[in-house]
Amino acid sequence: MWIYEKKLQYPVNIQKKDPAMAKLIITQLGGPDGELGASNRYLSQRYAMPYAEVKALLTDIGTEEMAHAEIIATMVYQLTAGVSAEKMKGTGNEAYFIEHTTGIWPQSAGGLPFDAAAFQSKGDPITDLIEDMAAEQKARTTYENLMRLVTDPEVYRILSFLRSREIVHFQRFGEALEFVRKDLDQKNFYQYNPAFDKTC
Amino acid sequence: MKNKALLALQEIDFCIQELTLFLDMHPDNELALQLLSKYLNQRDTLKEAVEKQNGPLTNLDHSNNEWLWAKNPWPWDKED
Repeated sequence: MWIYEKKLQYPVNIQKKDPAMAKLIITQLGGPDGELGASNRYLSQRYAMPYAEVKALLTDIGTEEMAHAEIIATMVYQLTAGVSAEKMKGTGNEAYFIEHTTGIWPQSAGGLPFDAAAFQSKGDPITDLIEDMAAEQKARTTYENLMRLVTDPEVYRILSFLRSREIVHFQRFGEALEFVRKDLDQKNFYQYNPAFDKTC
Repeated sequence: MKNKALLALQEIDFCIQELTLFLDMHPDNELALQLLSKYLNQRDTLKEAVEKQNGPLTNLDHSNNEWLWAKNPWPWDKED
């Protein structure tokens, strides 16, 4: 289970409205490399993960990603709430506005809805951990591309924090992969799925 | 940043989160274990200060006869 804490992991207090930037940033909520996908990926993978240490890591990173989804949603909300329909025109955010007003709905920058097809839970520790490392790198690239376009230093600061988390998570998943590999090498097995082939 | 107590709690929670992820993969690291205990102790005081200013941090932190959980600002509400 989870307990909600009424605070953000990192402070967000954006004063300057920017619906055009919101339209891009929302991709880190519901896009292919977004935080919602990240959280669902790790929290789904942990069930078949046979190593207690890695179950803990998937749980803890998966939970942190939920906090990141909340940070992104807060940014999108603060960038758009209070903007008139007139001022929404020409920002690129009109289609989102007519469908959701200033509500938060997870989609990619290209307008595609959040899709679990963007992540895998393969039930094989090596496969899943390599996917996780790739996912952290893809999210880092996305944050860097957003940082190339952003002009408000307040927004930049938050994106920069989230980018740094992708690097830390990549590092931890790399250690987890090493841990699993070492265990499999000890048994002198490699091409074997420790989540499935119990008697191998 | 108006809410200094909240910022201090966010800072200590960041340290705790980093140590938690590190300890998952390095469970025998003594320095990390010591730091975690130290920060968890500090957290209690900081949490108290935040709750005094902002109200309960979770819906389990109910402490008097008034239901403050829904009343106080939510994280996406701006400070102005």
